Amino acid sequence: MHPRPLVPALALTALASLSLGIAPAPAADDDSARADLLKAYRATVKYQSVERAVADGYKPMRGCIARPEGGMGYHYVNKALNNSTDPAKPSALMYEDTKRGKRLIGIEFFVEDRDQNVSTDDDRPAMFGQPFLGPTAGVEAGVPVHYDLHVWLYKHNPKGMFTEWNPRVRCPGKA
Amino acid sequence: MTPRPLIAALGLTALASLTLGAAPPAPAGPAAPPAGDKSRQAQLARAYKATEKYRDEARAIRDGYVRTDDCVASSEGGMGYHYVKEAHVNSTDPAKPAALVDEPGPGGKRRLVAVEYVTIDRDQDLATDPDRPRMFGRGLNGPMAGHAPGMPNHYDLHIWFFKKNPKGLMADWNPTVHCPTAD
Repeated sequence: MHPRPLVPALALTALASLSLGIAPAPAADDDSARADLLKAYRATVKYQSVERAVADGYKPMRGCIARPEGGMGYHYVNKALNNSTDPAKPSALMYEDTKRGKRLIGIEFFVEDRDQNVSTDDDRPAMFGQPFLGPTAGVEAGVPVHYDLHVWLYKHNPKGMFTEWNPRVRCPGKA
Repeated sequence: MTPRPLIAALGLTALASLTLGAAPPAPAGPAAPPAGDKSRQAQLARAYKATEKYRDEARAIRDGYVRTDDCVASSEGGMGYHYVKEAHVNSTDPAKPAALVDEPGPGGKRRLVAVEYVTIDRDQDLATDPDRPRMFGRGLNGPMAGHAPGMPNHYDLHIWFFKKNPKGLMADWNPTVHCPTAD
C-alpha cells in the first residue's frame, strides 16, 4: 500500500524530534533509537489499512479509550506479540474514527511483568531509548500486571511521541 | 428489551421503597413480571441491594474495586470508567460483580451507572462457547475481545441499574453515557 505523503512527513518530524533531545538517551544510542523507529514505521505502515491489520492477526478491542488528558482510541491487539520488544512487532495498533473509517495513529508494545508485582521493576523493558511505563495492574478485568510503551508514529502527540495519552485523539460522543 | 423505568423493569415494589431518596426518581409503574421469572427478579434484587452502596465511590474503592481513569466509549454509546475487583472475575454471584461502571459527572465527580459481570473465556476461542455462564435468566454476552491490550477474551453482562439505558437494562453500550474529551 502506498503511504499518504503526510505520514512520512510525520514520521520524519517524529524522528527529528527524537534527536532534538526529547529522549534522554546519549548520542550513540540516539542512532539506534532512530533506526528502531524507522524499522517500526516500515513494518507497520501497511496497517494504515485496518483490514490488513486484522488479516495479520490484530483483533479489535471493544470501544475507544480516552481520559480527560487525551485519548488512545481503538486498540487492535495481536496477543501473540505480547512481550515482544521487536520494533517491527508491536502487540497493539491504535486507530481513531474518521469519516472515512479507521485511521492508524500509533503502535503499542505490551510486556507482562514477570513477577506480577507492581512494587518491583527489575524487568522494565526499554525501546527507542525509552523506558516502558509501569508496571501497572490491569485496569480492566483479567489484565496482568504489565509495562507498556505507546509510540505515536502516525499522529502527532503534542505531549510527546511516547506520551501515553494524546490530547488530539478523541472518542465518540461529547463531554 | 423494552426501555421501561428501571425500578418498574425490576418489578420489585420492595426494591422501589428500599431506594426511596437515593435512587433517581422512580416513576410508579405496575410491574408485571412474566410468570416463572421469580429467580430472575430475585437475582436482580440481590445484585441491586449488594451494589447500591457503591454510589459512594470511596466505599467501592475501600471494598477492593480499583479506580481507573480510562473511559470507554464507542459509536454505539458509552460505558464509562470501570472499577475492577479481580477477585470477583469469574463470579456469577449477583452480589459480586467484577466491575462497577461510573460515568463522568460535573466537576470531575463520578456517578455510578452500572455493574458488570465478567467471566474469562476458558479456551480463549471466540468461536466456541460451551462455557457461557447464565445469570438473570439469560446467557452472558460474548465471548468477546477485551477493551485494551492484555484483557482476555471473556463473557460479560452489564446491568444499567443506576442510569436508564434506552437500549435496554442489559445492553452493552449506553448512548446517554459520554466520555470526556481533551480541552
